[in-house]
Amino acid sequence: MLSLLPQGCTRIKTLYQGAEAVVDLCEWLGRLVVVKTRVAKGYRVRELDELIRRSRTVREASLLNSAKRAGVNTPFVYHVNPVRGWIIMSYVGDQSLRSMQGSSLFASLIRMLGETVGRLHSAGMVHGDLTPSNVLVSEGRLILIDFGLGEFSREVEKEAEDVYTLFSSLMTLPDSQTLMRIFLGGYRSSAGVFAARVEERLREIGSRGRYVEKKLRRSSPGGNGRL
Amino acid sequence: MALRRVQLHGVPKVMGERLTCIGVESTAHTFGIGVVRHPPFETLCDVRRVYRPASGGIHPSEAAKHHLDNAADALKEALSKIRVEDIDLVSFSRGPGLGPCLRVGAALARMIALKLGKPLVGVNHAAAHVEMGRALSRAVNPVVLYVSGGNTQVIHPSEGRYVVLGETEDIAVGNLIDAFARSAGLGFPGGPRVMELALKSRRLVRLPYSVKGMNVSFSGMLTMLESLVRKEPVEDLCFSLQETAFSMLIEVSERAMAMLGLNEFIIAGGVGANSRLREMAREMCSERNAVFLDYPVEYYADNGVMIAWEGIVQYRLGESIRVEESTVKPRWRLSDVKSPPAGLYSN
Repeated sequence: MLSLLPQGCTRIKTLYQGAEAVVDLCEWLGRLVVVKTRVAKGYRVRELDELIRRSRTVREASLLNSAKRAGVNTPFVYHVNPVRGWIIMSYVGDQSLRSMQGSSLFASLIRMLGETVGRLHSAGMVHGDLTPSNVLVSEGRLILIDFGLGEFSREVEKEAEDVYTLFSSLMTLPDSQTLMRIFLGGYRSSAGVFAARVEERLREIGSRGRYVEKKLRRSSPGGNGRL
Repeated sequence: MALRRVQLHGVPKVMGERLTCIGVESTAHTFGIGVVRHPPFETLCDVRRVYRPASGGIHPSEAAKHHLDNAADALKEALSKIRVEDIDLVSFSRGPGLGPCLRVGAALARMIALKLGKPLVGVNHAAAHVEMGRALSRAVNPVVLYVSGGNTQVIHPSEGRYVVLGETEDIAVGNLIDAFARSAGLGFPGGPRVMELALKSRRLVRLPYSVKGMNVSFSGMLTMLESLVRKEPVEDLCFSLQETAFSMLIEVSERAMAMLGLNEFIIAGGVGANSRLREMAREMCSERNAVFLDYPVEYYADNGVMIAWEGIVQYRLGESIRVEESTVKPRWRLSDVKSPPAGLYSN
């Protein structure tokens, strides 16, 4: 399904068609741009659908800008239309960090990502969907994209969740434990004194619900011995 | 000591041979006994006794007492519909669930297994929901939204295991509905009443919409709903709860489908009985050229049939346990369970 594009935009190709948005590579006023369109969802009642798309579009655009001010590379925002759900932004290539998995550079990029995320958090922002697909690599720099689930927040909980999301997606890699350590190394170097609090919360999140059985087993050696 | 003398592990029947399993469900409010034969998949009996608290939510030990009081009678009814000699194996819900309730079902299943000298299989309740959904919907490679009073997960049954792609970070969606219904004086279970009242409203009250990647969170919505009870019309709150919570669930399910590139979607668990949720699922799938595979609504809720079916599934995967080791596992995670190959359903 092709999305409706802003006036003056010529679609070159669709880069990505996700559950929530369509991302098109376009030509606009003589330059190469990326148009992200949040499509309407028929399953949601119209009112809720518009509310969600509008607020996410506005929030994403302002996060992209503020992150840049905090020294985190993001695409330049050229134009925003909250009603139609459009963001027009600069094209920064399409090589994702995910595609670099297995490369000899991967570990150093993960460290760099740690520093980047630390800077983002220090500036009072969280990404909300931190996965290797949402990090682009261009000329040795990391560029964060897709702030659709991001927030302006200084809550330890949300910062830890950011890191937790990334770690969950690293979990499938063979050297995930090492990569997590490398990430935290970078994170500490830029998040400063807050890093320890985030790391502590990170451990706590891991112990909620999903690993309770493991914890119980540890605390009572006999386990739940009742039949 | 007497237990040891009973031969429980007969020679396992070969793959594909016909098996009849009697399954006992007792994780929460439902005490169920089901009998399934396979192949082809056939439900021989489905007995259910549902605990309804006089007030408030499920009280674990009262629910367990209800199960205990009903066990003998339910078994009698089940056995009146089948021939005892036909039973090849016995399964029970081993977890996750309420400990006191689980122990009642486990005790009955052990008794049947010992009495008949048949293998005992302890099954995971969540896996049973998923496998029941897969079997009835004939889905080959689906994303599964598992939603009930105690669980909210987006699951992909992949090669050999269940991958939990997303889940609630706090309370389950069924818990949200029940807890809201209780504070609004709608009784337990809240689902049917909330669904009925929601039909009478089209006015959306803004509630926290909390999606984080593929995870959801409902506790903020519950807090807000509880603060709005008696300030806003209850119909509007029911409508808004359903629209907001279900949109969140469908959104994360769609995200999982997009991420994995899959085009089959099924729902399992009691909240799946809500027709608005299924309608939204159908709509989401049709917009992305995928299919929502529905099945008879009575199998969304807890039942013994799914436990019997999962007993067959797990037995064919080589699982069975000795009575001495059949302790219940109230917090058994789905990710620790083996998932069967898709071929099991081609019958």
